[in-house]
Amino acid sequence: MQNIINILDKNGLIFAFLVVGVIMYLSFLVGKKVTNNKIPAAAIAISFGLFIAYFGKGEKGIASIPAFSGMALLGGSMLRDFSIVSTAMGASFSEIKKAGLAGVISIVLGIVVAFFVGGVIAYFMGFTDAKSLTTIGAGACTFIVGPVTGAAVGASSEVIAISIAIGVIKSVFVTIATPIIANKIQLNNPHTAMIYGGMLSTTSGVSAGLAATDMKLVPYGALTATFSTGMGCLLCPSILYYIVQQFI
Amino acid sequence: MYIPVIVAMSATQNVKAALTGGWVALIVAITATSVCFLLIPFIVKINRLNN
Repeated sequence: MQNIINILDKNGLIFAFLVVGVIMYLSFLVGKKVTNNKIPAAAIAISFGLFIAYFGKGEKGIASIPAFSGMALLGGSMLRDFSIVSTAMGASFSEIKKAGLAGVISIVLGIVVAFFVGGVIAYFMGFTDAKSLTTIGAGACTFIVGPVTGAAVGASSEVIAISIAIGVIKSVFVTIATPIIANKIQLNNPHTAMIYGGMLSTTSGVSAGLAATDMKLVPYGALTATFSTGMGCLLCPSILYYIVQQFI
Repeated sequence: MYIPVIVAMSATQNVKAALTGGWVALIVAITATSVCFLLIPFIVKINRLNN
């Protein structure tokens, strides 16, 4: 037993890839078979990540158990920044232009509104330092913007976990609410789909919600939602964090 | 690509301590998302006026 743990500890990153791969695969199966693609697989996988973190001891979640130490590297700053940069490289300006002025307004407004509504509620629920408020506000954008911002401004692990949870709940909420309110907000054409994607930012929730409403609208919403997520990763730890600092 | 990284990141957070925060996550998520939903028709309107 000790030998196995030693091997896993030494090859931590490889084992972490395996663990995350298995989680992703199981989440995909659960999403497809159990929820009939109604809940995005990404949201299930991240919820599962938060769930297993509960069984770790203390600050580092599951990574505090030696066999799972590689998870800290896979979820650490190096690979996180790497994936953000590679995603940003894939964005093309001609695609952004397609979204038009309303698309751009919705992308910026989606981030700013979610950020400040989240931050104000957190303030009234007892969070008083700029780092925590910024991280929770960023979590109200998406489950990617939350932890990226939290790590950038140096928030506590506990607050980062809360921000991820907020993003996951948002993704699931968007997925469920979209088909219900689609008629009310006239979500039946590409233009509204783009504005909707920009306002809600969460690519997984927007894609799953649009798929349940009208399959043809998915690419339009997903496009602006992806830009919105990228915009959130840019604005939250910089300008918005600065603004919060001025108020606190 | 970044979903697996976020999964690993979420698995290495202090979730036990976060749970003592209780209702914060649920309330923030539902309220912030609802406000964004409500604003969509207004931006659609602005867009129509511009065209």
